[in-house]
Amino acid sequence: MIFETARLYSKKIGDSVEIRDYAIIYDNAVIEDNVIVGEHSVIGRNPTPTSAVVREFDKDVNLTKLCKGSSICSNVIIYSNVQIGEDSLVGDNSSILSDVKIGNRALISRNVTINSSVTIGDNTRIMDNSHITGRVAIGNNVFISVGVTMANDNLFGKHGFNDDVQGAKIEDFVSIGVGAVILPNVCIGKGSIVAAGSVVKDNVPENVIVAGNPAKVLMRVPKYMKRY
Amino acid sequence: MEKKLLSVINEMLENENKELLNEINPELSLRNDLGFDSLALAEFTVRIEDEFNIDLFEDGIIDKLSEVLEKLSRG
Repeated sequence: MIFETARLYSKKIGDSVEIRDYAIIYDNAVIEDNVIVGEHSVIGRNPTPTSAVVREFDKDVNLTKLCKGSSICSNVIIYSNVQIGEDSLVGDNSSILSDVKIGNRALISRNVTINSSVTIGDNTRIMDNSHITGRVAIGNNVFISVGVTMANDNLFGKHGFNDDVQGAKIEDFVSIGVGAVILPNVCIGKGSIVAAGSVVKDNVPENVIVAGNPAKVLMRVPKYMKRY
Repeated sequence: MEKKLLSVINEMLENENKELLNEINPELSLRNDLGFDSLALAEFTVRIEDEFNIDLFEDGIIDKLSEVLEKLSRG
């Protein structure tokens, strides 16, 4: 069902799709079957080019695809060249910049901001108010709790979006606690747990619990906390 | 077994500068009496796994030392 005030500039709309009031679907968007787009959401928006934006966008690759069964809630902005996997959900007020690929059955909760060049795997869950910075790779079955923030530039943008700007690599089955801070270019190993409020500035090995500022390895993950 | 358990608990309490136990009182609660938070509980189970090769929380989280002793005695 297409609601009365929805604006569809794209013709690539699948079957059993619901586009609710005031949603805008731009012409570079592909909406597969059984997708829901909530009120006031914008799909396929092109980045706004001004001299203040230092990152260059590839204007030729701009298809945004909402795969079948995915749901986009209200007030969500999804830019060009984004893929949202099958049966995934993006919560109210979230914003996803260009060049982002989100896997199947992923949950992006409310007010999550995802910057450009990010990959997020299948079954991964990112809770309310978290910020995923640019050039971050998040694996499958990862759990990121509320208010987790990440950075990708130790020089605070001094040299623009050059090759030194690099976000974290977060491997499969990692869990990150409330309010943790993940600093640039660290790798968090498979199955590890970052305790609430930790500041991760160094690589984390697989299957350990880290905590504190700076985060230190406390112990291996006990059996009852293992997720695989 | 109780002696080993006492030494595991006291080692953890000592690291936190808390008062040590003289004996294992089965009525004590890991959370409320020993003050173990979620991280301390994780550490406790790892230490018990290392010492006794038993997964304390295999069937769910337990809290009383009596329950810990029961798990350990069942091996």
